[in-house]
Amino acid sequence: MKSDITYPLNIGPVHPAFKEPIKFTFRIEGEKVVGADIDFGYTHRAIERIAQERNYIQIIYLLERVCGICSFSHPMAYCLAMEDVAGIEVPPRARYIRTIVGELERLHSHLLWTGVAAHEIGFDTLFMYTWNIREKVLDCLEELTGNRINYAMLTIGGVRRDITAENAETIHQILEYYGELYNRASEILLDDLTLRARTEGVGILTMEQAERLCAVGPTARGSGLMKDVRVDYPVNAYYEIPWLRPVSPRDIGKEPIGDVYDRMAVRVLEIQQAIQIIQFCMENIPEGNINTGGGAVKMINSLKKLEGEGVGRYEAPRGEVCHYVILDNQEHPVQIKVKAPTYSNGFTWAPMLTNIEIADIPIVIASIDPCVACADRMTYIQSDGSCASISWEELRAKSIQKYKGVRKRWMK
Amino acid sequence: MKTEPLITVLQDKLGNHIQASREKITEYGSGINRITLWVSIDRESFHSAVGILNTMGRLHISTPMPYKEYEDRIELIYPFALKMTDTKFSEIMVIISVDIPKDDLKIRTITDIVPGTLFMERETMEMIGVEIEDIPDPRRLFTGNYLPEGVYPLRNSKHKESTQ
Repeated sequence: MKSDITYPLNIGPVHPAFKEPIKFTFRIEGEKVVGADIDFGYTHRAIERIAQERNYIQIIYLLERVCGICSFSHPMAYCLAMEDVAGIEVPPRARYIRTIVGELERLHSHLLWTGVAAHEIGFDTLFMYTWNIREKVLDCLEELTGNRINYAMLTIGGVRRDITAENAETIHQILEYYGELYNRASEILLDDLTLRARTEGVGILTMEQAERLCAVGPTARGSGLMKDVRVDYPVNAYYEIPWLRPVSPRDIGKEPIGDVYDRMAVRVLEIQQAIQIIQFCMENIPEGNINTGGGAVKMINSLKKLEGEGVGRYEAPRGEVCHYVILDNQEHPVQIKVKAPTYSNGFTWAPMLTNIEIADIPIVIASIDPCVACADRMTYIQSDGSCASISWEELRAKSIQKYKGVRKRWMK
Repeated sequence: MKTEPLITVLQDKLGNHIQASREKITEYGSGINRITLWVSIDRESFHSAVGILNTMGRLHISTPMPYKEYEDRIELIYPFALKMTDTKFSEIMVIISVDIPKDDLKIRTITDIVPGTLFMERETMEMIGVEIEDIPDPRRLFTGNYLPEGVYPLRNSKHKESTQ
């Protein structure tokens, strides 16, 4: 219920780094969660409405602000939708550059997530380790695009910047760096006993639930649902990679049950896959133009004569991003609908959070890699029906307390 | 038409309730195509059509529903992704549009077929003002109760009225 809200809906780009804070309401019996409810909307910025007032090129940069971490994925889906409606053929070199930057984004996003997940269970050494090694890929993105996030790399019909010989050298260096680190990092993330103790059998989402609830990305694949836009639908240069397929916990010899460990395993495996995809693209990138040419004004002038609808789908690090545009002979779209992965995966929280302990709430919430800002308060309903509040710090303290107990038990 | 088998099944079961259909194919070589099928269905048969699609493969909804507003009706658009085979790049977009008269802005929920549409239906109710009949959770998704009744933030005409 929102009747106790005393502040108005945020309209306008008030917080460009995250899409939305979020409120969870749990029903608790003892230490067990027996029900969960999710309340969105605390920082809805009406980006879709704002887009109706911007021209087609301005919208690219507006959509980068849907999400800081996925700041390549949203404009990518939008550009694909606009190219779909206008019938624009993207030059092959641009498709490869898009794939490379997209996979660099996946690399930094998954490393960020592993740090967040480690932090949520009190394993701060791992948090520092993963965020430290993530700096290399951010430096690389900064060299390629000029920014660590919000890259402004895309345009309708291609990309805005080429990969120079100097950039290529940097990319080869980071591939070598991550290639060498991968075995050590994956050993910690997949085999560490305390990490396994906190993630195995926790926050289960079955394959049937994932399918019915339209889960996407590593959340779906962790449940064994082999769903990946890069493989299901021809996008950028992915369809030219013959060995590409969705990863699964089966790749490490484990039948997926849809717990936190399986979702983590998918992301760890996708770090390796991202390195391999970038390697493939660097070896096979063709020469040629990087966009259709003509500049922004010419593009806007041609698009404003169009009428029709287009769909753009892209596999962001967190899952499917989809944009739907409707054009009607105007300088701006009549409508644009944006779907972020958390919109799909948020619905899967309810089954995941049911029948877990309070101390596991942080890691289960984090396990879908949510795009959520300022989730700093929760309300839980005790079994006697009374309500109480618990701060995020208190919740983390509970989690760390449990982690210490688990460590003692497993290290005996 | 690459989507002819799909259209044939829908036509066999729903007859002339399918008002129009068209497909768009973008070819990428080596037999890889991006296929989009647009189907217009009347409101009474919409629920059955989604049920039929759900039996034909893995049905997934890709975005919250966009819409087009006309003088007397709203065209609500459901963008589905349908995967009928396990082969790579075989997922097709099936875009179903349904006309809803403005004097009776209602449509039946499809959460009984695709439960993952619940958030999208809740958003459609609050942002566009189309009532979703039999929806299991009719609460607003993004906006608070402070928003006056009858104001739908993403309805262009309503938005203009509210800002005036």
